[in-house]
Amino acid sequence: MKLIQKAAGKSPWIIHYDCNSCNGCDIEILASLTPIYDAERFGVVNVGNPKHADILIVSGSVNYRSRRVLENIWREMPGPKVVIAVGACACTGGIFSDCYNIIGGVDKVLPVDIYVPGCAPKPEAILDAVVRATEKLVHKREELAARQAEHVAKLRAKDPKGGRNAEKQ
Amino acid sequence: MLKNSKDITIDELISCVSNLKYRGFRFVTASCADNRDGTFSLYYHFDKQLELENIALTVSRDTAIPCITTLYLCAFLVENEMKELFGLTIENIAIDYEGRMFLTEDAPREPMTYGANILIERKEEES
Amino acid sequence: MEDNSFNSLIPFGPQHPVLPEPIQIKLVLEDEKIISAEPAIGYVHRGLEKLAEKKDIHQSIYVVERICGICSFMHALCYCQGLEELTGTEVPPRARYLRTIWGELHRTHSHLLWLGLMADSYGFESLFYQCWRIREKVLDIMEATAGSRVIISANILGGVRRDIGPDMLGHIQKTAKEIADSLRDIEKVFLNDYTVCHRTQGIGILTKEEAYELGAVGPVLRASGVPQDVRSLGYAAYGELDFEPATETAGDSYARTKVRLKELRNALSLIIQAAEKIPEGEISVKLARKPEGETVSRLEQPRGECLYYIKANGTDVLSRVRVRTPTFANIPALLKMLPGHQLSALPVILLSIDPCISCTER
Repeated sequence: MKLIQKAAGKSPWIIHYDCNSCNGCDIEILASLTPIYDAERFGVVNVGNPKHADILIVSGSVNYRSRRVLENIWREMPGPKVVIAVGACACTGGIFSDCYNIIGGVDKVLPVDIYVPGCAPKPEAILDAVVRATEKLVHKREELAARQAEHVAKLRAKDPKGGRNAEKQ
Repeated sequence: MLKNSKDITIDELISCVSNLKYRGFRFVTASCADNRDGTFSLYYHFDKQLELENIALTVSRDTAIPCITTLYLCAFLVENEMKELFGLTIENIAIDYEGRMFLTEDAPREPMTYGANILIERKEEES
Repeated sequence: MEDNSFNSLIPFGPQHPVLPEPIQIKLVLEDEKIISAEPAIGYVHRGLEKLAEKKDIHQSIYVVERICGICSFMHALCYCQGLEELTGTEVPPRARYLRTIWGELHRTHSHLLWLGLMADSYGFESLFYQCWRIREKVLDIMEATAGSRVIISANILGGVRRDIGPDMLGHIQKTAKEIADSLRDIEKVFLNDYTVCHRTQGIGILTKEEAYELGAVGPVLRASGVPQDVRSLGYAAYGELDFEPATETAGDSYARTKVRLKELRNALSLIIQAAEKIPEGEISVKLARKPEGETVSRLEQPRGECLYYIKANGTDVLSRVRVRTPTFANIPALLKMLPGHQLSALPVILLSIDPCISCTER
């Protein structure tokens, strides 16, 4: 268990969804993964499958059609997970917040952990967000492990003989 | 009024477009604007060796506009767009999205019309 | 032998590893062969045309720039040129040259970006990284000259916002030459590598007649043998510079790659020419009067011809801005290319038109 806790912070896998953005943030997110900025030195791997990902990077505001897709991706990601909103639109809706087809920022739909303001934010800012997201991921994992341990302790107190089985849960 | 533009009536549309096609013009796009008096002005833009030719039409919301996808298949996207965003009546589009190309059920209807109930206002600053 | 093939409907997208942007393509497959395709769009529809009717003409520049982050400069340029025509404003020559330089820098970065994504679509990751490494040089120039990497907001009505000094112009020329040198290495891979050619040659063929008929624009049209390039109309400073539209005749993904590589070279040569010929003088003037009337403004974006229809009513707020972007015109061509190919060829064909969905849906 301890090993996984430690390893999770060393290699967070990210998934990127362009929710409704103008591409400006997307190309900056991709640029931060390419060799000049190289997010991969933090062990970050960009994956296409939400079931493999720990961190969800969303760019752009949410509209009525992409809302369902965004929720789906988030639901399919295994917990604990971290959501990063990249760009002014993802934070608040930005310049598009007055448009008729816009619901608003990503936080109208999902719980957002980290906001990266800017139009478009520079790759350095995105790198910083990814590093912080990693810290948050480790923190969330620790919390989860603590809760699990607490749960196991409770079950033990209730039924001392079922120790092995309880631990497995 | 646009340059190289020809005013026509709705009945002449198909014959006019087929004439342009016969002369080797390429369909560029169509534009629609709300005149804010219940009518809409429609432009069909065509192009041949970078020379733009336009056809201008004025229609009301209920006028049945003939679809030109039989002549130019590529017009299906823009016709769907006009149908959806302006609420125009365009019939028999080759690939018809039935007004669900851009917008979903819960989004505003016919948002590009002038009277559409959409608030875009400068938000008052809280003092 | 019994025929075991059956038709199946597969929704491709909106979230897919190869897609940088959300678009859904509904495919009808017979086993692995594509029978027909139909796009389902609307994942990026915001309603910017309506927003541009609510903001005043100067604010609207920032709205149209955000139609697309990759070719934001071109959108603003097209919009400004339309309004300058409506107001009868003559843009100073230096501003026209600066617009050309920034425009071609945008084309360079967009084509390098596309080459990278194309390499990624056939799983050639190191080539993807190489293209993006070269592209960073262009973005550095953008940041040095305008203060931002992607959305540079350099256009204003009647000219440009900033000047580029002689030192910087020299640096731009030097960098353009450097990029042209480093292009030689990646060109070899895109055009001669056996595996890469295998993935692109004969894939997604569009004949000249089909391309013309379906209203394809830009590199897609030129790769099918139609030498149509709006830059030949001579807007900005293109009339005074030497350039030739790049064409190919095969009409497949390989030809489209080749056209874009040629255009990259063209763009770099245009940057060098413009930086040499640039005249001294003012960089912006005030609009002569309030805009009134209607106009169609066109220009050549990296992805093809972009068209703005602008209707003004003599006030500061426009009554209609309509944008027809290049990808919007290339989607019918894409639907024509897909049938008959294997499902595994879809990413290459899809990327070969250089789709920009946020442009398409505005």
